[in-house]
Amino acid sequence: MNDRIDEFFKRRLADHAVAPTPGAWSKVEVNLSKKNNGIVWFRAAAAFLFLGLLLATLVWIQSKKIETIPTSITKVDSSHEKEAITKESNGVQELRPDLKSKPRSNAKRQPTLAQVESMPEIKKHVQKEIEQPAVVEVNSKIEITESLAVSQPNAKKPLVLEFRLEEITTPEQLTATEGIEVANMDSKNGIQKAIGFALEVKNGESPIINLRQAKENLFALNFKKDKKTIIQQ
Amino acid sequence: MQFEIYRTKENELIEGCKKRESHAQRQLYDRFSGKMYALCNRYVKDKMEAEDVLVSSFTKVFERIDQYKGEGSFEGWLRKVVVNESLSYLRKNKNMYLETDIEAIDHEPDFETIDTQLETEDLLKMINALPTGYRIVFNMYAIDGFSHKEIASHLGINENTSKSQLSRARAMLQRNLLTLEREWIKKIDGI
Repeated sequence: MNDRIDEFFKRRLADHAVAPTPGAWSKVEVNLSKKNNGIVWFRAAAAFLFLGLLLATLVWIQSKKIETIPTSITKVDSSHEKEAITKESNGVQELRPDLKSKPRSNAKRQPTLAQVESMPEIKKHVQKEIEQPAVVEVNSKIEITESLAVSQPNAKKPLVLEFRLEEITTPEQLTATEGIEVANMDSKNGIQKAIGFALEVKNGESPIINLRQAKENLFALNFKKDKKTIIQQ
Repeated sequence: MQFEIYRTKENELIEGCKKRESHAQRQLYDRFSGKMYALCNRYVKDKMEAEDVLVSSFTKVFERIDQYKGEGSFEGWLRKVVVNESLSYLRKNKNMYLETDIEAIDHEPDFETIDTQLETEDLLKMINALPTGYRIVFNMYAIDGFSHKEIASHLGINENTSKSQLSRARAMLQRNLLTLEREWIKKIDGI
């Protein structure tokens, strides 16, 4: 009996169709366009973000390149220095090809002074060059100058040290102001100075005469007498 | 031959919908909207609410049409989407389950007579008169071909609840059909 009811309803209703109102499709369209707009906006935002990142990366790379330009200039300068130094060594020995190429690779990596010193290959070269004194000096100088040149781009503003010296009064100026002939004094030795001083005292020209006069005046005063007279009064 | 042409055109429409072609979407909607709206009406009593469910169902169908891999009929897949959408609507808005004691009826109506006398709309009204839980289980099991296991998993109930809801729905429908049958007999006798 149950199966018959089920079959009856299924036969009558399974393929039954009722037309919805015409507005239903427009609602579906609106829903779909909303979703599509959302997807379009999302894609546009993603594209803008990607472009922004790309531009930022390009700008960053560009700035990096600008920073590396001074290094290359110093590298050229260092090569000139290298040539000059090799010439100074009276052309005793020419640099070996492997030693010539070494500084270039270091310049590409832009190592610091500490890194250069810590590099085992460079250490090996330095040790080798110790055995050949003329070339050792040349190469070690080159490496140090390059490492210093590499460190220069970091210091954008050069440090300027200013020194100011105070005016020093010359001996001529001193003699002009005080009226003492320092030049003559300098030329005399100690005994001559003492004899000269004694003569000045004798002649009454020395300033010490004034001191003697002051002493005599001082002792000329009778302090005791004055005290007694004061007590009596 | 005619069936093959129909299937080919349906596949073309599905492919067009996968490419988000609006004319293909419109044609697919025109082809299935009537059946799907009737299906919605069996689950959701109010016609406006049923239309809302239809709209949201087709929106989802066009968004997720890539999930249809061509296994089984497209209509079957579409029906499942619409049933799921109807159930989720009812879950949000209605208290679905109701236990009422219904007396068992010994005799069944004469289905041949009823079949000639009853309009489809009358049958729909009879289904819509059922309590929500009964209506859903009856629709799913008797008309849309879900098993009790599937119903239980869809509705979050156990299979025995599904079975008891179905038997109560059947009993109510049977009683209503017998009442109608008696009324017609009285009418005929009166004439």
